[in-house]
Amino acid sequence: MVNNHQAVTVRELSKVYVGRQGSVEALREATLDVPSGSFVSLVGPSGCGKSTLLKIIGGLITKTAGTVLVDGREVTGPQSGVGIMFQTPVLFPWRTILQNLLLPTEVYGLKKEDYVDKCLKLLDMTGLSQFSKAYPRELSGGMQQRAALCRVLAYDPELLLLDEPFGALDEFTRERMNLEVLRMWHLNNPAIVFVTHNVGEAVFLSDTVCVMTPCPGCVAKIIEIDLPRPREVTLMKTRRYADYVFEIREILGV
Amino acid sequence: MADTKLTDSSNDVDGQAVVPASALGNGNGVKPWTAITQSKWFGYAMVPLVFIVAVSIWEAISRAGMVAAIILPAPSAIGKSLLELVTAPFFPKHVQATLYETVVGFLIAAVLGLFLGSIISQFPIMRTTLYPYIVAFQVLPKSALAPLFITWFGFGVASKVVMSAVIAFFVVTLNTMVGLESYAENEYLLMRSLQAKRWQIFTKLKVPSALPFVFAGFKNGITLALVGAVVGEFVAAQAGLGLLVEVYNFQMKIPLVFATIIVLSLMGLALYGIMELLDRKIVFWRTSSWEQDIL
Repeated sequence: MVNNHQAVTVRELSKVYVGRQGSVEALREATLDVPSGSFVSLVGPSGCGKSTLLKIIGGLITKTAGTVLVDGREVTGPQSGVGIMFQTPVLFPWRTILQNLLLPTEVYGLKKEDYVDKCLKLLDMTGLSQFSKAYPRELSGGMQQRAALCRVLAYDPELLLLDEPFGALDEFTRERMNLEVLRMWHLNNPAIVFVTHNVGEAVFLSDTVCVMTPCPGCVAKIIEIDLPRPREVTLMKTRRYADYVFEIREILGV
Repeated sequence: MADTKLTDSSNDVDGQAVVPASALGNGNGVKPWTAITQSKWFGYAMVPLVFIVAVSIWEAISRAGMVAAIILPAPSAIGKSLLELVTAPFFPKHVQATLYETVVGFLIAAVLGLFLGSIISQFPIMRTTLYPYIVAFQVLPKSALAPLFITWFGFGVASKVVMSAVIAFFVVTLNTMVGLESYAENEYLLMRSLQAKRWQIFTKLKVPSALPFVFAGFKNGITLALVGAVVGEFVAAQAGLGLLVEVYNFQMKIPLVFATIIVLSLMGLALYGIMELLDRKIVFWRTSSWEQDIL
């Protein structure tokens, strides 16, 4: 199973948080594959460990037991080539949008000039070109999150980890953002792990949906979504889409 | 930004107030009383008005001889003394002394506070070993140290500079510590995901996040530094406004005592104003002033 074509390999991964109130099991023997260039969603209710799983893949928190490989290498901490997006845009208020997009160049020690054009192009593609010199507070929540998407895409990640990136946005904006993600994904084709609690969103976006339940933190089922691409909004009206959504809701008991 | 918000909210108040007025049936385009009292300009107009009314009452009480002039001189007498004081040839020397002690004391406190706050918040071992001593030093009433500082550093400005630095450094230290920990978790995770080094996280995330708190500390610190300078001058000094207060009080020149106090508060106001200006200039992204309400 472990081969070069897997962007992420997770085997019997467990995580136990040890706190003052005792220990909390967040993840129990989760197993998952993310093939290169594929779109995988982790869907489930709050407390099912989906965010924990994502952060372990990203090297932001440590595992308790099991194996996590990214690009065939054991994860020991944050890696290059991996981009992460959170539920909040995480734009620094003291930086303009363009300066925020260029923050990784400073951290990576790259030449800023090499990336300015690329960042401006991405902003243009997401309809933010006139905001490059604006400060984050001058943008709406959706626009801020689009800028955050540009920041992560500017550095060509091979693996994109999205932790409920549009969870705080309204329904309409979220739908638009999802289409935006798909469009960007088709351009560079990174592997994407997408955490959400929205079943419909997971089915619409993904090649594979990993259904998680708070048992605690178990992967209940992995479902291949065999729907044509590129996906249009009209897909959500189809019977096959509805069947997938129904199947997953059945597993989650909602 | 803050100004636009103020205008917006006052407009809202106006808009809301129109409704109950018409409901009461007394509004034919006439602005209701509540709208006037709640408007921003009314507030601004009230400031000098309150001053004039208070001073007039005070003047009346003094002239009626209800309080002895030696205890509470009339505002007019204080005004005359103020003019006498600021035109006196010795006045600049004393202003300069107090200003120098305050500013230099504050600068030392700022540097020391930033340094201590940084190492305490960034190195757990420093927190464990240093912080208890700093707190122990803070709970000590530092005015008690003033005579000691005179003995150690002499009657000149040095002892007052030390006094002022000692009084002001804690608030800067504390605000720096709190500020450096005030970043959001996701901001930290983002930096980590970029494989940022520790110093990069410090300079690119923690320091900018700390600035609003640091400036809150500076604003408190500069006021405390002035307190330190005056306390030091009370004990023993060759020059300074604190010395003038003491001397005039001893000579029973109470209007001049008041006049000197006015000069001192104007000096404090000016120093605070400079800090406020720097704050707005440097921490331009701040949208609310809640940080200022902490301390």
